[in-house]
This record gives sequence, structure tokens and C-alpha cells, in this order.
Amino acid sequence: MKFMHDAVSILRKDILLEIRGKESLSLMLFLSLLFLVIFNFALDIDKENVSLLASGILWVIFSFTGILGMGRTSMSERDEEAYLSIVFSPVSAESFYAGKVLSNLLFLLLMEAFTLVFFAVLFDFEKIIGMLPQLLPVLLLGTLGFALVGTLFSFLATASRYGEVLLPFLYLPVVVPVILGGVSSMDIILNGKPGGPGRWLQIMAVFDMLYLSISLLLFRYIIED
Amino acid sequence: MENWPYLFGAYTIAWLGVSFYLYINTKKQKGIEERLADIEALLKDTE
Amino acid sequence: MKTNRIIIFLFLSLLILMPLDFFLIFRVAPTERVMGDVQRIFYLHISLAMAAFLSLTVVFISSIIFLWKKDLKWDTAASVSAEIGVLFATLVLITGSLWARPIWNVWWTWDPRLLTVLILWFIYIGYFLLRGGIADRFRKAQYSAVIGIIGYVDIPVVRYATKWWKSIHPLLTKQGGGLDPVMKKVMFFSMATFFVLTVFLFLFRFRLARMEERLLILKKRMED
Repeated sequence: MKFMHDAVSILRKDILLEIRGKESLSLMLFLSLLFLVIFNFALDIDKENVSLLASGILWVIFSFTGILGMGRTSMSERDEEAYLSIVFSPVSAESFYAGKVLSNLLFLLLMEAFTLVFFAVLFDFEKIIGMLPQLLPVLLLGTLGFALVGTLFSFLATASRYGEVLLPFLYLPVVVPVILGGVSSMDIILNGKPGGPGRWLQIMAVFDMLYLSISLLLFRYIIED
Repeated sequence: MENWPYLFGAYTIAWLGVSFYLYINTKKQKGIEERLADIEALLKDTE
Repeated sequence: MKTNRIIIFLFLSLLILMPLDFFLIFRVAPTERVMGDVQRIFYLHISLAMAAFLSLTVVFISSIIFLWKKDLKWDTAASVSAEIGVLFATLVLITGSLWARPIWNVWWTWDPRLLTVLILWFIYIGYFLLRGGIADRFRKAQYSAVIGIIGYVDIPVVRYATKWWKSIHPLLTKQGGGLDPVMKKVMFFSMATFFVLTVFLFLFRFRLARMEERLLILKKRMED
């Protein structure tokens, strides 16, 4: 119980900071909007191909914007030496990790929701909003995978001199199964391809459980020096 | 034996890769051994 | 100086094993009917893949022992093994590409096994980038151990996900029953040779890394 309580209080602290400072979420939102504009030039999206391109574009934006946003939050945590307080306070490394995952998950999901709305408006693709109930499990499982790995790695990378560049480099290869699962299952749902997304959801769920357990075991080594 | 360049290319590159790795490390080892000997001699003198 | 003697012994046995292995591959093993002589790349390619996998397994195990025992010796073992693993993985990708050109008519294809090796390769390049950026010796060891563990655990997940995506890689295991017995023996010999090579490279590089560390310690003592 104390574990959950501590995790939730970390989450609450992050939400408060976000409301006051509006740092990482607004950064992510502008970044994803910018990505959409760039993709429009790069791919020449029109009514014909938008449905085929949508899942690829969206997951590229989710993964890149997500990791930059998560790096930002842990960077500020490291700068202010705020994480040091965990070593002295009764909050365990595991519940600190769980709290950070929850707050990253929340911000990523908000970013994704905005991106979907922007996407629907900019490329005249309202269908994607209507399909949100079917897309929800895909988004939840995929984003949880992003948050689990991203939280762990963002603290890891802050110790390095090349932190900001290193983080995407470490993160992207590891989350390949999530990106693959997200793109494929979204594509199946949007274009009504046969087979259904079931198998991909399973793969993402296994990924999430695996990384949840490993990260809980390993996070203490990143916080305690 | 129409595709021999690929076959020999593969074996040559693998062989060169491992040899090069050994070569640079042997060179490095020589440098370190020399410096270690120097420092150990120096330490003996000061003692 | 027991390790020195083992290293010399392994090197000498490689001087015999390597030429013998090449002789078996090029002279004794029969030519494959469909692919022709290019198929002989297999003996090298698969042995390299085995050696790479072995090295990364050592990284994984050493990383766990390091986090448990906190002895920097294990971190040295992990980093040295990762270096050898990256070397072999690079050669796996190159030899695979050289085989794919004449057989599949492409240099590269997005096949699950190729993808898995490529992604592994990226993860362990990241391992060294991370190590390069951290000055504190102990923290460097601890953080890279986390990558060493996570990277290894990622292999089966990536493998499964990409397999579900698509596959055209030849499955040797499924044709195993039809594989020529001489081919099998040559393959086994080749893998054994590369196993010896891996152990030799590891011990050689490990000894060097230990020497480097001793040099650093002595230098520090000089400065004091």
C-alpha cells in the first residue's frame, strides 16, 4: 500500500510541476505538430494514401516526441538533484520508478491524444477519431512500453556527457517490438486488414510485463550510486 | 564457381576484421607494458 | 602467470585449427546443389553468429554478477566481451550480406534474423557510447550493466515480433534432416574453431584491460 501511495505522490508532484511550469508537455505538443507539418512535405499526404500512411507517421511521432519529452523531465530531475531526496527520504527506488512511469504515461497519452486530433484536422481524416475505442488498447499497451523503457533509460542517459543524443540511440532499438506492434495493429484496425490486432496486442503486453519486472529490479542501481 | 568474389570476399573480410582487432590490441598492449615498466621502475627508485 | 600460458596455448592451437577449418570448408565439404560454392559462406556466417551470441551471453551473465558482487572485475569482463560481440556481429552482418547478394539478389533484406542482429548491434553500440560518456568508473560499470542485461533480454522479444512481421531467411534447422552428414561435421568443426577463437580473444583482451586498469591505479599513486 505504501508503495502505491508513494508512487501516486510522485505522480501528483509531477502533475503540479507541469501545471505550474508547463515544460515537457507543451514541448511535446509543439514538437508533434511540427513533425506533422514536416511529414506533410516529406510524404505528400492526400485523401488517397492518408489511411495507409497514418499508423506509420503517428508511431514515428509518438516514439520520437515521447523520448524527447521523457528525457526532458528526468533531465530536470537530475539538474535539481531532486532524485537525491529519494535516497534520504523513505520513498523506495521502486515506487519512485513507478511514479515516474505513471506520470510519463499520462503525459505521453495526452500528447498522443493531441497528435491524433491534429492529424484528423490537418489531413482531413476524421475516421481515426471515430475508431478511438478500438485503437485505445493499442495506444495504452504501446505507450506503457514506451514509458517503462523511457523512464529507465532517461535516468541512465542523464549521467552521460552525451545524454540528450545518447537517449534516443539507446531507447529506439529496445522499443522496436513496441513500434512494430503499434504500427502493425493500428494499420490492421484502420484499414480493416484480416487477422485482427490480437497477436500484436499480446506481443506488446508481454513486452510490457517483461520490462516492468526487469526495470523494477534494475532501477535501484541507477538511482543509488 | 561463378560467385567466387562473394565467397572469398566474406572469408577475407572476416579474417581481416579479426586480424585487425588483434593487431591494434597487441600494439596497445606493447605501449601499456612499456609504461607499466617505466612507472614500476620509478616507484622502486622513490622507495 | 597461468593465463599467459593459456593464451599462448590457445593461440598456437588456433594456428593449427584455422587452416584446418579452411581446408575442411573448401576441400572436404561437398558443394551444395542449388546454391553452389557460395553456400560455403554458411560455415563462416553461422560460426560467427554463434561466437557473437556466446559473447553477448557472457556480457549478460557478467553484468548480473557485477550488480550482485560489485566487483569491477566483472564489469571489465562484460565490456571486453561486448567488444568482441560487436566485432563478431558486424562480421555476421557483412558475411550475411555477401551471401544474400548472389542468392537472394539483394544486399540487404528486412528479414527477422537480419533485423534482430542489426538491432542487437545498435544496442551494443549504444552500450559503448554510454560507457564513453561517463567518467566515474563505478557508475559507468553499473549503468552499462543495466544495458547489458536489458539488451540481452530484448533479443527474444525482437526476434518474435519481427518473425511475426515476416520471414524469408532459410531455416537450416528445418532442413536439418536433409543436411549432408559431411556438411554437418564440417559445420561442427567450424563452430568449435570459432569457439576457441572467442575464448582466446576474450582472455587476450581481458588481460589487456586489466593491465590498463593497473596502469591507471599506478598513475594515480604517482600523482599522490
